[in-house]
Amino acid sequence: MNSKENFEVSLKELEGVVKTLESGEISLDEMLALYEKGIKLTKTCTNLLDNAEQKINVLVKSRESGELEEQPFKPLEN
Amino acid sequence: MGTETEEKRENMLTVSQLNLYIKQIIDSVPMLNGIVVKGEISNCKIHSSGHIYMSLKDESSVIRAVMFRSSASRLDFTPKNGIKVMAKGRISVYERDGQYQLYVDYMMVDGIGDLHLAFEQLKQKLNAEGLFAPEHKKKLPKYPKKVGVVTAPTGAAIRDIINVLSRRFSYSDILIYPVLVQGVNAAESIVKAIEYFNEFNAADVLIVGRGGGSIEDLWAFNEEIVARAIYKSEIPIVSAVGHEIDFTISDFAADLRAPTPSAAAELVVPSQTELIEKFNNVYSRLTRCALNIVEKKRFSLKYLEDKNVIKNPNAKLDEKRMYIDSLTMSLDNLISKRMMEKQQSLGVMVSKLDGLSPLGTIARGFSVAKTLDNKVIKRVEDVNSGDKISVVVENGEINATVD
Repeated sequence: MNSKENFEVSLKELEGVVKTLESGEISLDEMLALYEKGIKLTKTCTNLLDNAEQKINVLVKSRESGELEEQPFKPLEN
Repeated sequence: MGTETEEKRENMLTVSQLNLYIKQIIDSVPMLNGIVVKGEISNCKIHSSGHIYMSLKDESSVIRAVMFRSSASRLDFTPKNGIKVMAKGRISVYERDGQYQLYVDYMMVDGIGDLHLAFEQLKQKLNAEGLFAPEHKKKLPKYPKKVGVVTAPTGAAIRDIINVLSRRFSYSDILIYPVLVQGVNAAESIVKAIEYFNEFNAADVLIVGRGGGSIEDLWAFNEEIVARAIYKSEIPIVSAVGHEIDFTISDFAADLRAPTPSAAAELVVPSQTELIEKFNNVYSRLTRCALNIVEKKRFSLKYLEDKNVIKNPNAKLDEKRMYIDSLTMSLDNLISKRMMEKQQSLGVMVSKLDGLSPLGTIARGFSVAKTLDNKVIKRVEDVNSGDKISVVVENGEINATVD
């Protein structure tokens, strides 16, 4: 699982945790476990965003195969 | 006779020579070398080589025309039958066919009115087909992992899009498919790009567009094939053509229309700063929730504590004990009361009995005489002289003999 999938999954989980906590109908033990999990998840999500490295690629026709392939995009000056 | 034939021979030309000769004459006329012709396109064929073959006509005349690929690629609209144009070029002869024709260097639409008409007609047609139906619009993904961009690789549009995407949400990768955004081949190249992304599932959302320009510049985005490719795309598409005021057919077919390329970039990704702020909010929301729950639990605990059971676990026992005590007490009371009652009635009985008992009478000084076989002597005839009898007195018996 790469970090991008991780983010989505963590975010979904976090939403679930908040929902359950906000409903309030849980035992103290469950609550503590959920709280701990929620705090961990917010940190994970924030870190994933902070450390995300954006790839900017452009599709270029390969000289050998004639197929399109991804290459890093370098903006051309006009 | 002979001279006539000689002359004729001298003047005789092959077809090729004639055509070349005429070509040279025409080519040497300066006016025909740089000419602007007004007319309506007909018999238009865009060859796979990129050359465009067509005729220009007015009400009563027609001239053949050709536009080579190098010139055609600079066109900012797609030539079509019926479009009125002004064509700049030169007249020359195509020797093979003996045809003089217009070699077009540049062509522009004569009268925007026709374009507007074409636009309205296509819009109506596609609308009737349901290409713009709201229920067909796809929802954009909230956090796209990959944003596909279909636009020219140079210019303001791509720059703006990349700037906004990197500033707002560095989480999303960007994949650019460079396309022609104006000219004859623009529409086809845009369609190919959209199809590529769909075929390889190469993005979660697409931005399709270009910067501002004249209605002719934007025309590729009014082409039917582009609208259909957008409609067919499985990947949600945000259209971003020109400025805010420009509406194209693509905008209607797209899942979302952005007023500008930068705006499109803002629409497809969330703001990272806002997201992180949201996480901070969630953080405090979590804490608040947790505290709430603790408070709630504490409250119900207090409620329980206030009940005696927990505060003083013996209380209930004591209570029971007290109850038992009280029961015992009342039982005692009851019993002694009953006893007393019984005693009293016994006393009454006894005194009544006392009244009846001969012993009582004896106590008052009376005595009872009995025979030896213990029969009370009630009458004189009960005894004979000489009989031994006993006389019962209060404190004993006296033995006597009857005289």
